[in-house]
Amino acid sequence: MGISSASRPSDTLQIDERTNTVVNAATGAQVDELQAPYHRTIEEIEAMPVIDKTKTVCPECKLIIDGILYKDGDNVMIRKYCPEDGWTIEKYWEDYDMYMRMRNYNYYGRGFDNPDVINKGENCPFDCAMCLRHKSHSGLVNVVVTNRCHLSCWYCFFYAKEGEPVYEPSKQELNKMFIKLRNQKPIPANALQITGGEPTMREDLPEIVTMAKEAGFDQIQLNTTGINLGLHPEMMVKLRYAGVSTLYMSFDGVSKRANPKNHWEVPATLAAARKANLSIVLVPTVIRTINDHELGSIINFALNNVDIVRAVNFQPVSLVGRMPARLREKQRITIPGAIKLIEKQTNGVITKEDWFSVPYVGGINRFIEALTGEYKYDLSIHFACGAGTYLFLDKDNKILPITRFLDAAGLMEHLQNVVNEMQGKSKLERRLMAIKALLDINKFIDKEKQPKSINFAKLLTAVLMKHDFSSVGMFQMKSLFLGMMHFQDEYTYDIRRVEKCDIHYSMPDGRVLPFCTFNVFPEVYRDKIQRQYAIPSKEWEATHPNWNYAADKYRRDIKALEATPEYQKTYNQAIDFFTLPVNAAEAAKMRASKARAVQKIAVVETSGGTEEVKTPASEAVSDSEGGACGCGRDDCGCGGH
Amino acid sequence: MDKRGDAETYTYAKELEKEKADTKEYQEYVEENGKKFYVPYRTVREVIFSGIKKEELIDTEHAARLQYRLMLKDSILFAKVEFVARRIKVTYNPDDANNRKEKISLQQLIELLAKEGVHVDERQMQQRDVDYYNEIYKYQFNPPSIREHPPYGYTLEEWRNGMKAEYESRKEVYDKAKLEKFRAFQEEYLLQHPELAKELGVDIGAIQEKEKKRASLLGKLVKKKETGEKGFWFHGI
Repeated sequence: MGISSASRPSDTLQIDERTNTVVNAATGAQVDELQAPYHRTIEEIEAMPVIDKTKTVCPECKLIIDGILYKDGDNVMIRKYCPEDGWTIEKYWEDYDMYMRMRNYNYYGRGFDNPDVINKGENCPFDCAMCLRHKSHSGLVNVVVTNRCHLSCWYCFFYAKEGEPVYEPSKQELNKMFIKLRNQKPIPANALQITGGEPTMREDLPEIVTMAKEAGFDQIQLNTTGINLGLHPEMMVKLRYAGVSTLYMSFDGVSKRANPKNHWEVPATLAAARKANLSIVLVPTVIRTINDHELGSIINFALNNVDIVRAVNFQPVSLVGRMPARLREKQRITIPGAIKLIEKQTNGVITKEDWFSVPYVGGINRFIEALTGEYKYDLSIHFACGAGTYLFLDKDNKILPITRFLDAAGLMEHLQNVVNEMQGKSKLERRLMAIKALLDINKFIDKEKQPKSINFAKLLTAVLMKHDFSSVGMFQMKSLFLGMMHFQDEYTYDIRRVEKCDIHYSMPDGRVLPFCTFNVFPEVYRDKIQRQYAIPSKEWEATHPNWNYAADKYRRDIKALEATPEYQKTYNQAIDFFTLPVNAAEAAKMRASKARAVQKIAVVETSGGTEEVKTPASEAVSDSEGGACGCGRDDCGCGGH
Repeated sequence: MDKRGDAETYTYAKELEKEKADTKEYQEYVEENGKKFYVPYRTVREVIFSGIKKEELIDTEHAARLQYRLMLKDSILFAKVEFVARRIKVTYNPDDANNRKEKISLQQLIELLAKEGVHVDERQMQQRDVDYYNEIYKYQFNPPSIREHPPYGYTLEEWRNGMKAEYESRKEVYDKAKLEKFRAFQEEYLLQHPELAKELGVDIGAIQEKEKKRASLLGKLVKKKETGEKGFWFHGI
């Protein structure tokens, strides 16, 4: 059952004046502030300011129900009521101000001109394949090449357990999927992530990668634990040669306790990556009370290995599957929650103001498209799905987030204005307007604050003029990208986010699905299709000599791994960038500047009772316009308009 | 440690051979251009129940949930519950289908719907056999374009009036150049990793000669371009 006001002894909270902590009024027990929003009465919750409305699902019975986003202190929460299973209250976004700032950059993309299925998505998310309702093209497509894995992580649903069918498409079947993805219109998929299970279980993986490259993918990522690659560096060389651009490597923390998955093998993997010249993206899954105390350390680790680590992509946990409400409350973390922890754990060097929402960057793409008349990648995902920032590591080890010297919001607005003015103009006029726009770029760059080793205006101009990978490669080399990607679960589910998702999965029957339907409802998508196209394990064993389930599993020799020089160097000889005087001084300046800004903000007094918080129409795009289904379209056919 | 001995493995193999003998008439692969593709279904069935009472479907939200519940069955490939049209369309693997996957009979399907509170009128029912491979599989791998979006900043008319043809021919040239650039990267990579070249049976000498010729012909004017392979990892831009 969901939470109801009758289900708890008392949900009334009060401040204990002796200890200055939040306590349960009836029992006196201390309530963690982080969990306080879960412990209100329904009456209190319904009195809180409403921000927006959406459509969501009941986590128990999957009924499509209304979701109300409301403000509870600094949190944006979602409440939803199912007539059969009661209330569900969940954190949607742990910073109200950041939410309101980022939603200004929400926009709708174009979807597919050749959708997989001809339906309007009236029963979204249970109508899935790319349909007429979907609003983003494939930004990154995952292709599962095997469900075999050498690990058996307790929280993972992706790998085949003993006795379960083995899903492992043949090379030609994978190639068929690649070609289908490259034929998407108007924008073919251009970034591919090969995933599993553990893809390196396949001996023919280099051939698969080469096939993908020949199909035309520019960017090929390999989602891996990195263990096999660290143990067999020659495999890494082969994969780089075959065309892998980046390893997308799981990395849940720096300590053994936070990262039991591959802590001991990571040093060897980094060494092999350097030898093969194959860049790495570290991918921590962030779970409160498990590894949320190591976010700063993870970034520091990446900075210490910035020669080979290109990015850290934090993934706040997606709590798929049944779990007790108390555990869910304890472990839940959202993008702003992780961002705030990073600010704290980096001693204020990376502040929450340094992060921007992914759709910000759409302005650059639209500018280039309007200038060239060629389709470019459109980052039209929902603003709550992801965030990012760039860190530049300057010569003196100073860490400089990009927002310190670049007015990113202003620049995007400027470029969007130029795009609007270009409408209906000739090629020559567009070029002249583009040149003027580029000359104006300097207005948005603080040259005194930019890294000494980069002429950022020149770099940005090269990106906008050449608009290809080589310019962006230069950009990457002096920086570390920090990303946040929060995949949904049934508790946080927002159908408006799903219809804008651009991280997709390719299925063996030709369909392409958004990440948050494929994985949140595996019983009707991922697991179902893999059962259709999988081979029974008995048959697999009989047709694959020398294979058995146990032989796939990895066993580590911890002592031997800890004794290696790479291990010692990687973990025991790192610089702590965030305590260096050059960075501490900068952080102190930022804190002082913030404090002055806070003093200038006027306090808005509110009257008692319900206050609906509305953002003026001129400022924000509301996703809830357009009727009952929230699709924003009068012709969607859902019957609710 | 795998505790199963050879005898057990041998028994597995025997069982599998028996299973294969019993199921050898199943066509689980199609051939396209000389290559085999695993396609688990051949002929499946589609049934459309019309005239469903709206009060049984309740509303669009409950219709969506009913669709989800139907899809939970492995024997049901696709389901579409249309509240407004009062119609339910189900593509399922019938019990007389010639494949090894889970099956369901029409009667079982009707009973399943009844358990969900939906009572169908068999007089308002249409059925047909569906060629899974030709009608579903092939379509999903090669869906046709049914609409057109121009690039940002242009109207559809501008796009169709010459821009599109120009873009498509430029794209073809660009895709070829991209592949050539990748091959050049591979040659350069082999020079850095001669052990791989040896394993692949590639003559490094020939590559070195090529590089020398390139350098000597153009000299300092040749700008070594970065391949950009490191690239913008985030969303692959």
